[in-house]
Amino acid sequence: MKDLFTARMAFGHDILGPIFYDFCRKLHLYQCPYRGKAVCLFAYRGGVRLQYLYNKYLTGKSISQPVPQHSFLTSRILALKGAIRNSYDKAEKLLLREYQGYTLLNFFSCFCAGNRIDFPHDLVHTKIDADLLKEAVFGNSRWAKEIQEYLDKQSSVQKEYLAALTGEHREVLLVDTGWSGTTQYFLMKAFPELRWHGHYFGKWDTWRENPPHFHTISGISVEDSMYSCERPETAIFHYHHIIEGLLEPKFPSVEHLTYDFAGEIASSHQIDLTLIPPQADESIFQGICLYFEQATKYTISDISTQTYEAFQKLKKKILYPSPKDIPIMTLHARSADFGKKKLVPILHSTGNAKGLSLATRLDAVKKSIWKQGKIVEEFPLAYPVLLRIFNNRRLNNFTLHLITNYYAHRRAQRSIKVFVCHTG
Amino acid sequence: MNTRHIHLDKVRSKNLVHSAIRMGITTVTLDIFDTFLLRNSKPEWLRFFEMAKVHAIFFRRQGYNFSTECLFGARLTAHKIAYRTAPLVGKYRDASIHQIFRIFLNYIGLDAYDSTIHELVDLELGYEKENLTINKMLFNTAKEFYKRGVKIFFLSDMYFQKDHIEILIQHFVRERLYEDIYVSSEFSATKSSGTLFHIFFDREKIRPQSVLHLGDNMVSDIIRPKELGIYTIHTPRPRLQLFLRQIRHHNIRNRFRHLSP
Repeated sequence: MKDLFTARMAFGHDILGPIFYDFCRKLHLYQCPYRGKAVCLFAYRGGVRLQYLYNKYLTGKSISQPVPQHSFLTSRILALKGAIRNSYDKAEKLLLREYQGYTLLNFFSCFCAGNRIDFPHDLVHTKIDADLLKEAVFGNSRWAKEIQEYLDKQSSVQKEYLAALTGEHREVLLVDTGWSGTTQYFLMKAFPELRWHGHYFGKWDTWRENPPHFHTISGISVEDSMYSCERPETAIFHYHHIIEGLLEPKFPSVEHLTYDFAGEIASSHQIDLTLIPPQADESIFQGICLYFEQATKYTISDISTQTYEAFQKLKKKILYPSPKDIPIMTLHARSADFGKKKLVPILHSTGNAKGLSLATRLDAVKKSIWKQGKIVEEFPLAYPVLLRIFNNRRLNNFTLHLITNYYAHRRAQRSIKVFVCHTG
Repeated sequence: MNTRHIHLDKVRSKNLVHSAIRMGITTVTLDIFDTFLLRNSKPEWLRFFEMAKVHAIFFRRQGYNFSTECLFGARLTAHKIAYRTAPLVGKYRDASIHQIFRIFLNYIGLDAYDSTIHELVDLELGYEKENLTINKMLFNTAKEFYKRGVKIFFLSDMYFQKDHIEILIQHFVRERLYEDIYVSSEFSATKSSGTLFHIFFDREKIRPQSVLHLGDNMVSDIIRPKELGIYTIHTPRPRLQLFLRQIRHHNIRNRFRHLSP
């Protein structure tokens, strides 16, 4: 156990330390041109840990922050609530994807948590679809009006909150972990009077759509649409939770804003700020902070070389992990977001049952966030070959084709047998 | 001329001037870098690396000891960040040399005094003077246009400012053939987005149909102006030169892969 703690700390220090230090160095340079013109908002939850590291960097280098900074209570779901009427199409697409299969009641308890509405009996168990969602946002029924009232209130509280944070500034530098800037998209729609610039750890055009807000976002450490072997930093796209999971302190995400006892705007969930610095069990984050403390002795070139080497090592560990790397790099399960109580594990558990079928194992790989890690766990002998196949796109497609055909063939044979049995 | 796309080396300059005037061309706009002033086969990264050597000597004289590699990395990063943080016009941004050097000095931990930035810009201009040559054929064509009363303007997407470009042009050409210079870094507008052409038309009160534009870049010098109804002539660099530039770019990129911003 102590060995694992040390190994995780070393991983944080040697690999993620230089990467985050280089991020903070560049973040400072990205902010310098906005000196006196903008305000920097570090978005909850991942952004506040970046803020913690950034301030550590500034202290270490004895330099002042170029623009005023604040922690910013926001999340995808909260920003969406403020912009749902201005950007309904995108909001609808996202909500229907996130709440697929949810009943109206379940959707409401997640999306508008803490509120109570009496829905008509015939609708309570109706599954949420485009028509029902449209009725909720624009309809005239009593229950829809109550939802709209809640959304309007959230929108006005957000406006008041942002006005307090930005003051006279019209330029906002939003710092977050990444990736496709959905939160920023909704904030831009809800508050078009502000000029938003996203300074993220990573920018990832997942669907290669080049969305309209992308020209306002910079991926400081990594930026692309897919993994490219020539750019080691893009390997993070295969396991971006190694960054995101690590940076999320253990308090719930901001689902809606409310007023606390002192009349200040606060998150609906209690936020314990003491959870932002590394905790006793967060050995990787401790390693990163240790690197920040030691980095003052390195030259500019040393940091660049160490960052490049760290990305090379991280690429190898993400794409071709060894069994030793699995416990080191597997982070805790992540919350499913959007007010859902579900947890998403990094490696999907198949239990400890022996003799699992190939299909079950492949399914577990498919459901895992870090697929390469799960391949190593599920196939301890064959993983070197399987990882070669998995990471090679052409080979991967070919193998998938073979497997799919094999199962289709078996299914067809089974159906023929059943048919023959029935017909005698 | 009907195709609005002619390779300059295929026509004699006099014929071009004749036919252009016959078609009602009253204004000629020229791209500067790799069109009027020609670059050698050194790619951008190599130019920055050689500049870093010059900067290293400059800083040593000031009492700071920076390695060439460190300054090269700083330049690459500053260049990228300056373009990312430059004012947004539509979906495009264009940086200025002052902004690049301000970020560059921040990167290496020095104060970005205006005097230091001016000295760095002077060094950069000195380096450019040594590495640029004039396109004689285009210069003669421009001269011929000038003699016939056609107005000449320079339009460039470049981080240098107008006065820097004037210094460079005057280094090669003593006579002032041109009316004015429009640089993207001064207007926060680019040829590649078409916005610099719009600004040019508005300020000079010229109709696009009476303008002939010459340049090497397929997008910013041909496609965009064509969309606006400007006559264009493509003046590409020789393929061998572009190929050489590409090889040299790959070499230096592989050598300094770890400095990639």
